[in-house]
Amino acid sequence: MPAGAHALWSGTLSFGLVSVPVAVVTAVRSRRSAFHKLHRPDVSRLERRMYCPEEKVFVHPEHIVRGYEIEEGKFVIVRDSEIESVAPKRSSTIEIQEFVDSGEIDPARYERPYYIVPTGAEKPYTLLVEVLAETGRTGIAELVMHAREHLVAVQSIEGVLCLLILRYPRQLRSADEVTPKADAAGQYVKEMKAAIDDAGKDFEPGKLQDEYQKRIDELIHRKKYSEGIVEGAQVEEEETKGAPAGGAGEKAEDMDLVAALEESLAREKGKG
Amino acid sequence: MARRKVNVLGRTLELSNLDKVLYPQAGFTKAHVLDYYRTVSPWLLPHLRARPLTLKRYPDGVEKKPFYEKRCPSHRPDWMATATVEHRDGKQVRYCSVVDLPSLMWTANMASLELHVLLSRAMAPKRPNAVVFDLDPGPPAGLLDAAAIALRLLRVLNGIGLRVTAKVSGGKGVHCYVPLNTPADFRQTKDFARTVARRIERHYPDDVVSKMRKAAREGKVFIDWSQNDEYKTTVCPYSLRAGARPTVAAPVEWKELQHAVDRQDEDALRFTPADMAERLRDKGDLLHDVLTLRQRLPGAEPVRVEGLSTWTGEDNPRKGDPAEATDTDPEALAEYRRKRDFSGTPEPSGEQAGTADLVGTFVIQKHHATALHYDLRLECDGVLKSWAVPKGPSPDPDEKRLAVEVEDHPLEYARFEGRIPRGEYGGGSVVVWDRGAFEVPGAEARNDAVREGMKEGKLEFRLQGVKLQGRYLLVRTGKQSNGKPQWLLMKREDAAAQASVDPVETEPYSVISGLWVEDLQEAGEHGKQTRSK
Repeated sequence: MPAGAHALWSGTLSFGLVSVPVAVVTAVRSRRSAFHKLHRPDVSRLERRMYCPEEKVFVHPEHIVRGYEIEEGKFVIVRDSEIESVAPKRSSTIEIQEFVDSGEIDPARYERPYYIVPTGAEKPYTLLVEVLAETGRTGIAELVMHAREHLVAVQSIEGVLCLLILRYPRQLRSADEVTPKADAAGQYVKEMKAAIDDAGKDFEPGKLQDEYQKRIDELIHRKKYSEGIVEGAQVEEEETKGAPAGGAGEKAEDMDLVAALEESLAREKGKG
Repeated sequence: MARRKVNVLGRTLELSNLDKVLYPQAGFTKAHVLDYYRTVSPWLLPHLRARPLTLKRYPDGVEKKPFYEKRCPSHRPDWMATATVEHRDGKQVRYCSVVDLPSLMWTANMASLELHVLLSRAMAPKRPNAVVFDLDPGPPAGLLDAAAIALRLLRVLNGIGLRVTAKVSGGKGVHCYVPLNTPADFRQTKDFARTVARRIERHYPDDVVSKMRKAAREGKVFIDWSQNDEYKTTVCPYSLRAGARPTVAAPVEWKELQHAVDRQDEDALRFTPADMAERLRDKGDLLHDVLTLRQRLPGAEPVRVEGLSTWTGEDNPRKGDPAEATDTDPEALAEYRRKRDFSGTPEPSGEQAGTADLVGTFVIQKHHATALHYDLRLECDGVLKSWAVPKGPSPDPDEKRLAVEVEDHPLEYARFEGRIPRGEYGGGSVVVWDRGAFEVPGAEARNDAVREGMKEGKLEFRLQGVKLQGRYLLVRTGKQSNGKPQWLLMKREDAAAQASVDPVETEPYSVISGLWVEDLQEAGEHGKQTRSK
């Protein structure tokens, strides 16, 4: 497995008599320079909290339940254990049931790409990589991952097996909904084909750059030297353990109190 | 050699090494320490009473290493009250707990110069009575810088509608108190104190720091909010401090802090034991609000008053002796029962179950009914002889308080506190304001003496309570127009007699739950609202 890649699933990939121990790792790298939300005055990292607007309190995870809205404001409460009881069992194999021509799959069906990496014998794995590449075929299988059943496509791309989660038909809106009604005017078809041929190039994804990301990187680099780095607030050395059940967490500030204090402090400053 | 047995309010105390010099630079001896604590006791005791106490002992004087004694030593006298607090690790710690002059003299005799107390009382260890801000200057900042920040803190908190009081620590610091006396918990007080400290730090980053790190404090005043914790102690008001010379953690007026800052006069904020007697006579207890003022923290959710732990059993040895129980006249409670409908009131009907430890008990209940009054009850022959005392008992021998004799109450009434529904007899709220043992001085049999005294119209007794100690006298003066016998209740001269501080005013809380009648009243009103929805 590549360093740093974390196996999301492991088991065997099988087709007929071929059975290969594999792991599934994500193929997507997050875009860099994620920003953190900070509290401006003390540069402490902010936390997300669940807030109850009715009682005006932050809600402790222990006091959170899930409800399914039956009608406006009416819910059926479902416990996590109940959800688990109907969850599909985690599968231990990716069993390829059929092969289709890769071109047959509507690209809109592809969700997120993963790599399938061998965790044991590599020969049968390589065999599959080569055969799928040569035949231009895609294996279709079912897989349970993250407590969900997925329909997946297994393709050979650049010498490795890729696993692409496919959207179920009900997840896709029908193209009919948006298909224009007019017919293509016959005499222009030929002209446009010629124009497209002129602009034709080989696909070189490496040439494309995320220009926006590049400008962000440059901005950060510049500010690092012009304005310097600020140090975030440290968590208090000495602090109570275990947030009490319910109510506000340790560091939550009561916003009404803060507002009142700020007004009072402003008056105090006004006096000089 | 230098051991002396003394009797303080009926307790025998062995004092040792009274002439030992504890502050060598000032020639201040242990006798001086005892004398100081005795002198300030009327003002000190209301702040110290029934709080878990950590002793800081200097047996070899302030120039030698002291030691902290958190657990109350096992060689304590059998009348010494304690306070058991469950700590975070689940361990029970049994602290000493001073409730009266004898126990204060005992801690002083142990050379516990400094008295450090929790912010809660023994009967309600999870209920802080105040929020405290400990303003601690980091050198080169000093006491006057702390005073200036205290004044700023005062104005900011006044600006959000809170009253604040202050004391100097006796060292370089200033302690500011926001009185609460309403149900609150330490999470609320700590959150509040932290928020306030952080906000002030943000606006005055050059003068103030609210972080724990020592390095960050140089030349700034550290607003320590973290003392608002169930397990942290703060030096008690009027405690001595163990500097080279004796100083006092003395409450101060805001204008005194202002003058000292204006004139840059640090000495104006230093108080010696010798200053205190006159100062207290002139100014009274400047921290009075900490004891009596009810305030709510802005935005704090109300805390349920139920479930606060009670102070009973082992910790409070002030109780009667089951061996002295006598038979009860079956007719004694007839009037009590006739007046009440036990399907409507939570008061006991008088089954007298589990009352063995209430023999020899006195109780004073604070009863917020049509009019606020106090009920004094003395056990005799298995029932509680009762008087309604409109103004409550006074420790001042010159104050005579009216006491109207009322029907006998069942013995288990000594434990009763709660709400009697409106419309029932005596509807309102009741708390056990004081409770303990009593005796009739000089009498061989207490029951006989009480019976005799009530017949004669003159009854003297000695209380060993949490708040009240010493001898009191009841004298019958006649009958009211409704036929009820009318008496006068007065304090007799002894070591507990004093005219400076009235405990009825300064110590409203229940000695078994820490509750105030106001807590019960408000909880009751709140409960009614919920029901009517």
